[in-house]
Amino acid sequence: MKERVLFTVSLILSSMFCSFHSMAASLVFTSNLPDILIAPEKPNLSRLAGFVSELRQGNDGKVLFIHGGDSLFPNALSNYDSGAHMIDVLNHMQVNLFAVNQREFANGIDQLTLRSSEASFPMVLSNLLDKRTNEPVEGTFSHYLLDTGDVRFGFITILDTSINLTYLQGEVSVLNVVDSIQQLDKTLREEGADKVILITENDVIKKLDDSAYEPLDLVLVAKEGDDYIDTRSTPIKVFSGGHDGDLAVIDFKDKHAHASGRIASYRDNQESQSVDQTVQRYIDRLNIILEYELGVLASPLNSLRENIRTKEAAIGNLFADSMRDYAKTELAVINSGSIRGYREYPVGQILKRSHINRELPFGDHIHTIEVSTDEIHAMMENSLSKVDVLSGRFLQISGFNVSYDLSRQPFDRVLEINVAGKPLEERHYTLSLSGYLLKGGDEYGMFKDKSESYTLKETRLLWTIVSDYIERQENVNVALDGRLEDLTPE
Amino acid sequence: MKFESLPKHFFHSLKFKMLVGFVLMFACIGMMNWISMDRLQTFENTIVHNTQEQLPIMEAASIIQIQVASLSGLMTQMAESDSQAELRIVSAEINHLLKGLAQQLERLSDSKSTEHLLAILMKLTKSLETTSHIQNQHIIKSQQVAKNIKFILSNSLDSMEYGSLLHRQIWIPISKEISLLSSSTKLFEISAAEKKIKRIIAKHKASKHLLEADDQALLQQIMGDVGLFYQLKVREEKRKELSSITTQNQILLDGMTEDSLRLFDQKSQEVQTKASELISTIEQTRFNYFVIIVFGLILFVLSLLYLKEILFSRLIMLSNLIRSGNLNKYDLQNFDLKNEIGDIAFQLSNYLTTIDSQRNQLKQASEQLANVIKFSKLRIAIVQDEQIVYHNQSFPRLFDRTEMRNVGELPAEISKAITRNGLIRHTSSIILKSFYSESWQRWFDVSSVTILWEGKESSLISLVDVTDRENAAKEFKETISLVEKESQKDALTGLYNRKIYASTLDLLEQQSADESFAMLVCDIDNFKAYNDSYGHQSGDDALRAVAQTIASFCQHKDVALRYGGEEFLLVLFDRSPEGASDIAQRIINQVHDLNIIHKTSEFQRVTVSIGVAIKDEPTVTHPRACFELADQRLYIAKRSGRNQLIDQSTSLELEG
Repeated sequence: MKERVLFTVSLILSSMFCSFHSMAASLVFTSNLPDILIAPEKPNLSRLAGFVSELRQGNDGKVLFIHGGDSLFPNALSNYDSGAHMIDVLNHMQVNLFAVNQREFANGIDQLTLRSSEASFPMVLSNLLDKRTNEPVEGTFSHYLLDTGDVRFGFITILDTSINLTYLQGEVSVLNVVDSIQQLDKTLREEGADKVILITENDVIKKLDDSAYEPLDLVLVAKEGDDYIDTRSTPIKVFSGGHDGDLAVIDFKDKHAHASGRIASYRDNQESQSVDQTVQRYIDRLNIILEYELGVLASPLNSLRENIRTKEAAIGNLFADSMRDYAKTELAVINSGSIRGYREYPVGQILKRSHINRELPFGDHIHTIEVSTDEIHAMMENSLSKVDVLSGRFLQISGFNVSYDLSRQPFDRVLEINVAGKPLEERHYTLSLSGYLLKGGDEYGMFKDKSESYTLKETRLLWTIVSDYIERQENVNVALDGRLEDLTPE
Repeated sequence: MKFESLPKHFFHSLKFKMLVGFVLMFACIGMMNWISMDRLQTFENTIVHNTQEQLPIMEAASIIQIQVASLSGLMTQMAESDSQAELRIVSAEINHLLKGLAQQLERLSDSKSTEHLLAILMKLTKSLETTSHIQNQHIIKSQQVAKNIKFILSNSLDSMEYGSLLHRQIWIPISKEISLLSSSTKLFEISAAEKKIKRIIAKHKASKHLLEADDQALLQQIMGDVGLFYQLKVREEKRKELSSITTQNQILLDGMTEDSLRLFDQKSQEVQTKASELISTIEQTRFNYFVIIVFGLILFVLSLLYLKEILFSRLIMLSNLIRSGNLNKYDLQNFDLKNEIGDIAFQLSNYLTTIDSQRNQLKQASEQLANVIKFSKLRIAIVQDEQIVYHNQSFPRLFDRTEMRNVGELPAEISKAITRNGLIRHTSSIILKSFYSESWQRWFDVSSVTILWEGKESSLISLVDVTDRENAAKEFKETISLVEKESQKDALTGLYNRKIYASTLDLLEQQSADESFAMLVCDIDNFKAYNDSYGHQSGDDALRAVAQTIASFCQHKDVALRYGGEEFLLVLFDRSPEGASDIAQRIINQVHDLNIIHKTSEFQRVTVSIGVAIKDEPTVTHPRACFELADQRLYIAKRSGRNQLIDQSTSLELEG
């Protein structure tokens, strides 16, 4: 282990030596950082900070740590502080600039504004206007200049229109992407930017023609999954993000040079003491809450995306059953996009609050509404409409059975819906669901006009309800019972 | 025809069935009572549990939430306070609130949740102490920064006031950046400002104006190791530290909020569940009550209908049948012969059958009896209110009639007897004994007894021929008299013996005053000597002869008795005194004339002496006195020479 570390460090140092001694500036870019409660042996924030610190050694001011966003939420503690602890850690990591991404809006516009007031770095968001004020989101910069001494970089952040379907239901105006890029590029260059860099998300890249990026010098794309650099286009596009232990390092020899990039790993990097101490302070103080044991698993659970977003999952059954049990409704649904742990739990695993916090980080409340047979049908059709792209709208259910055929066209995939073995009756059923779905998230528009109830039950967060349910069981034994029956012909 | 009884069991009886019905009804009532008591007990237990356990916990949980909310506000206030005085005030309030929280937590029952809450509170308490300390340092640093900025701006303005244009060109932008720093808190803003000032300084590095001591001092104040930017960075560090610990505090507080909310929710759900259970049991109880009441009513109605069918209607039917006097086997088919009513019907049927048969028998017997009575020789008549309402054929024939309607048509003796005696109840009584019918020359007893004749008390008059009886009685009487007499007679002489003496005297006492009698006391003279001379046998013969002589003078009621060995008493009725004396003399003469040789007698034969007394004599007050007088006169006769009588006159002569 020691030898591995030494070897890696020497590689990095040598690459740094090779790369840096003549670099005017370097950018370290990643997005969707692991949360502070990740296991120490896994790629974590301390190692990432350590990597950046090492890069900065002897090159202070020339290395900029650019964060691609999608990190404030959701995570294990965001239920409690709406991401304030991540700002704190990012402050200690000495982030130079934070590009606001979609998940930063998981708790609403105003929470983001509060976080921005706590940040020691600028938060940039270029193409959204708060409909309430018709101004950019308070606390953010529409563009920002960072000066390394040799190179002045201008940064813009562009988000896709899908923001109004995922986290914000029509609360912001999304300015035209191409126009925004062009205008801001011009503004930044007028302000003295040597390089203009776009930070965006993959949904934008999918929709934009390469010609839209022409005035830019670099495109940084926040994307979970494998990090890579697309050098086929000009400017190059650097994709980085996720908890894979990789990040991107983009070098500029001088203010006129093109960007050159590489994917580096911080998996085995030495940890940053200050970040480690910061994280440790959180863990020490919050262990009392996070390490609270709920129960022992008698059957395995799997919250990996490809499992929970495509078929019936035991963990989905567990969460939906707990909602139905708490709200005492006939039916319950939870969108798989709410389940964010992306891990497997073996038999015998002691489930703790921190696990549930991580699985259900969005801090949502549950609501009870009445739905008609048609609305149930429409709900399930929407659930099954984007299974192929692992959409988080796929519902895990409780209290009823659905059989479906994915070979059919979207919105025509439901074959049968039964409650207690009998087809749906022509009446209303009580349904428990999250506030996110109730507001119409993931295009569940059929719930938008439903009236909410305001009782004690609605004050509690989803993760606490699930925690209570698990705690009440001696052994957590959740089985697949065929409530979502896939009858797709092979 | 009598019907055979059917085999019965207990459960066939009405009693059993009614008992079952009543038992079921009582069971219904009992069940309702039990359900009520059970529900009341459950309600009481639930209320007590809620009041003593659940509600206090819920109250504590609510207060905890309120306190946590207050604490959250105070924590924010602490984080935002910009004076040490305010910080101290807020810290004191926080401490007070933490103590209050601890007190509320103590009210909660021991459980994993409560322990957890206490552990969080302990951590939070320590963390808040640290927070207060950090904030205090942050305030100090902020004050130092503000003071420094004020100093720098003041000195730079002074410098600009008295300096050259170039001096101003240097210090105006620097002052601008410094003044902006007073409102900048973000590190990147501070860094940006620092970079700008460094650029300005670098740009004017060679300027002699920056070499002056005052400028150098001021720049040192700004850029030095412990200058403004250092202070800003230190302050920023404190701010980050504060932000960090405040975030952690908030998380701990949220954890407490969530735990207390969970506790409240748990208890609330427990109370609701219990209430729902109670409500559902109320529904169930209400349903059970309803079922029991309906069942009870149905049972009651069915019982009534059943009773009506098997009891009341049967009783009415039975009553009608009894009234009709007809209860045959076809009628019996309407009854369940295994229960009491059927049994009664069955018994009644048998009784009626018996009655019928008896009635027939009676009728037959009556007819026979009527014929017997009619044609027999009994003489019977039924008298109601002196009317003869019935008689048999023989009755009027006795009176030489064929028909009689009125008691007055009867011989006076009989009609009087009937009228006199009226209704004689209980037993038959002879109202006229030994009525003699001249025409028939026979004796009859007339008896009367009260009977019911055609529903009215009537006298059954019967004349019974007692002629034989009379004759027999007479004979019997004579015989009896004879026997009586024989038993009272002296066996030797055939005269009454001494036994009759007292009764004779008693009889004489009872005689009426106008009935007279005379007593002749006779004694055989020198009888002892005779016996001694001739022997007892001869003596007996002599006694017998004398007794016969005396007895020969008895008539009708006269009584002759031997009251001693040789003494005799003769009581004569209806004789004059002379007649009595005459008889006495004749007796003396006839005894003398018997010529019974008695050698030792002066008369050479057996003689008698007699004393005579009459009832009417003045000294005779009662019959015994008459005897005693006669006996005295006998003594006189004996003294006077025997073979003579002494009577009143003779006695007077002797006295005279």
